[in-house]
Amino acid sequence: MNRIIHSRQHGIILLAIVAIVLSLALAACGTHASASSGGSTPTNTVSAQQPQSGQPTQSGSDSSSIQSSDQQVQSILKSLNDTQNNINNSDAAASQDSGQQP
Amino acid sequence: MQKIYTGIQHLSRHLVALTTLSILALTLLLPATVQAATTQLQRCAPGDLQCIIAAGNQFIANRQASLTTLSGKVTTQLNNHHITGDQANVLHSDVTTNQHGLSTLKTKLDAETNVQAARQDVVNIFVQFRIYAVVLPRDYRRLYFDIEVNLDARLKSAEPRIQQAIKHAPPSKQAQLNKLFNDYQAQLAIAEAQFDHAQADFPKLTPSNYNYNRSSYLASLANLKASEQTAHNALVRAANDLHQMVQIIKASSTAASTATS
Repeated sequence: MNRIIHSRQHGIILLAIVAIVLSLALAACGTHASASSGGSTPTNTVSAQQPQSGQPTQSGSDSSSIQSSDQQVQSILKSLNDTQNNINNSDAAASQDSGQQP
Repeated sequence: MQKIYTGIQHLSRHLVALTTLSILALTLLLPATVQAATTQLQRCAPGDLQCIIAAGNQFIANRQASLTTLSGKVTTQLNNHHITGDQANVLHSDVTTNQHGLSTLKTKLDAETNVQAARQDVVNIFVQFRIYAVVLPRDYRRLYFDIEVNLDARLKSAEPRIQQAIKHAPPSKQAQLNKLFNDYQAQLAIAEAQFDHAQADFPKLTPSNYNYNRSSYLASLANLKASEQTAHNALVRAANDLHQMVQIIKASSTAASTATS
């Protein structure tokens, strides 16, 4: 009996969580839509965040450029790990050839 | 309701038991398959020419498939711009040479009418090519090395932009950023020093050295493994330095733009 009560309580909690997530998602969609209808493009948003007068613009481009490098480097590191796995597999298969001596 | 709950509990226990049994069965079956392939030749009767030819063809087909897999992985790295066209060509060319060699040997084997000659052809699949013992481990290491070299070049080319970004960072962050940048440069120097060692070891990893000069072959392989590992550790550390610098610079610029707005 207790289990049934517990499972109902869990069900109610789950429903509440789903309702909260749905309302958050709808709110986010609304914000996005109102931003779009205001006529501002993504390019405009970026330009609004650019440094004010007196601050060199080169700084911003260097910063975003090394951020992009950082992302590329992380992707290459993942490739290196994958290739390391290939090396391990090929090392493990090497014994298939070692049986025959000339 | 209680019955349903108990039923579900029983079912999940059965599922766990079934999954465990399946994993056990797979673990036992896989090595058995490999074993079966290698003992196929031994199971041929001494005068059974067709059996020897079939076994040899199976050995060749396995090696051709493994070489094709390597070729595909090289192409993937090329498409992802992690290696250059020239680096890919070296590896593709090695795959093609070995695949052509195996095809020629297969033609010879298929045409054999003498048991002894057929057996020798099968031995040559192992001795002449050493696809599993030498070619694949070496070429996958070459692919790894090429990615390392390109990663180093990418990190190196970012140095002037990092210096500029540090120059424009808040004075309170400069000491921390400069410390990371110094370590970044030091790690790249460590990696680059290993590349020369690795370049010298690759040409020694040949089927001929494996067959006739095993101790030299093993020494070169050990050196190559050590060089690649040292380079890898240094590159990972440099990448971490870069990541930390980016985070600090990003946080500083966010704080600056919040203060001005």
